[in-house]
Amino acid sequence: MKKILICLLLLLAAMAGGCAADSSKTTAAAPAAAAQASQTAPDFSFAYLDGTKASLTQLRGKPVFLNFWATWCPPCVGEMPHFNAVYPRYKDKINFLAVSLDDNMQEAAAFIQQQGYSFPVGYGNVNDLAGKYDIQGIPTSLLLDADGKIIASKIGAMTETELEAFLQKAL
Amino acid sequence: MVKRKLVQFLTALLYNGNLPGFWQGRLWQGSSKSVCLPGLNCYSCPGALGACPVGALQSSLSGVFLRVPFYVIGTLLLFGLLLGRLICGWACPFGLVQELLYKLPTPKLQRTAFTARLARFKYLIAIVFVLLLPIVYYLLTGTGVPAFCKFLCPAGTLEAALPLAAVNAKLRGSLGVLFSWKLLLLLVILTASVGIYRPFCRFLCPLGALYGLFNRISLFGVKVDAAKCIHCDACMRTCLMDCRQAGDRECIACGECRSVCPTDAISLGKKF
Repeated sequence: MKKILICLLLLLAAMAGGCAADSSKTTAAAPAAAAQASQTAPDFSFAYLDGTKASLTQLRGKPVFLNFWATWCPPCVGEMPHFNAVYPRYKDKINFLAVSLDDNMQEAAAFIQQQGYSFPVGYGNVNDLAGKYDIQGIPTSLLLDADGKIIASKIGAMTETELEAFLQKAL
Repeated sequence: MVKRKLVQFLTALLYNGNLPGFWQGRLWQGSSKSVCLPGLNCYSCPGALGACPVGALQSSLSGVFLRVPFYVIGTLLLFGLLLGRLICGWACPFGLVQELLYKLPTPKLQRTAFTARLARFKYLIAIVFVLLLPIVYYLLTGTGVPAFCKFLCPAGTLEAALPLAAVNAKLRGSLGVLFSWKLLLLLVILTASVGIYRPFCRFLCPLGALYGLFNRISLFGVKVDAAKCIHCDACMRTCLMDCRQAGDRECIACGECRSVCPTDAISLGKKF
């Protein structure tokens, strides 16, 4: 019995130790509150799947549809055909950017290429973005105005009708 | 068994030590989240400091690329070989919730041959929902789905969906039929827990099913001294799980049987 207790307590202490070392993460989430409606979307760097580096502020001048997704997330990949369907109708009025939070860019690139999607896809740093945007789950979509202010946000996958209604808020 | 309750409470607290997450409605994002906890504890619980092993296993079978989760399998093997289902009895927050509900003074459904048969159901759940369905989804649609987490897991509903939805209006707005189904399932399990000892653990839990396979060979757990045992079955009359003998694959090493053994043949601790 004592050995079991000691074993469990050591396990718990190891976990607690590991988490204490990570205590900054509790406060690190706080600035993410900035990523709320009517606030300016935090800037971040990303790479398009062809390797071109860019940042969110470079998309200003037109509203931005910003989506966070990953290949391991079934609802994320489930709504992508809708992005692809509406993109030709909206691309002149709204910049699209679907940012992959995968472990590596190759998986995202392979998937997008395999599906033949035409909307712009980027690859971002998950730790940076999760903190800046307070991403609590994916897919998370945001709509920004031409100045980068957040107009609307949505957690969860959208149907094509819901997506169109979401995009209309920027027009 | 005060010590066991204390360990269960401490474990629940340490698994979910990000307490501000509950009222902020935010998940812990530290690197400890990439570490698998021994017990069933939802990754998306606002307090969770680590990952659920079943969730991590499911995650590898989700999405458009299936992966062999070497780390998760290794972690499960390690926990299984070290502790087996002792983890269920001592280090599972959802087991604790069920045990506390069972303490309510109501008539109790005793274990029977039927419940013993029903205990095999969790192996079917493990095979179908944790392993087969994600792969079937992948083969049919090109996208694997974490079927157990998505369709069944009541711990996820209790520990993640409810606390997050309580403080996050956007999440509340996105709840649909699936949430209603999982809430119903949770309510059924919690209600059943008042009259049936740990029904989820006994009949449904895939993690318990897996750890149970290690019970005979785990380093720590319940051990019966064959030389002292007089086969009086006093231990089995006390057992609330569906064990046929102390320490078998249904045993969660709660240790209750030790106190009734007339020959002190049952021990709890290091077995080898």
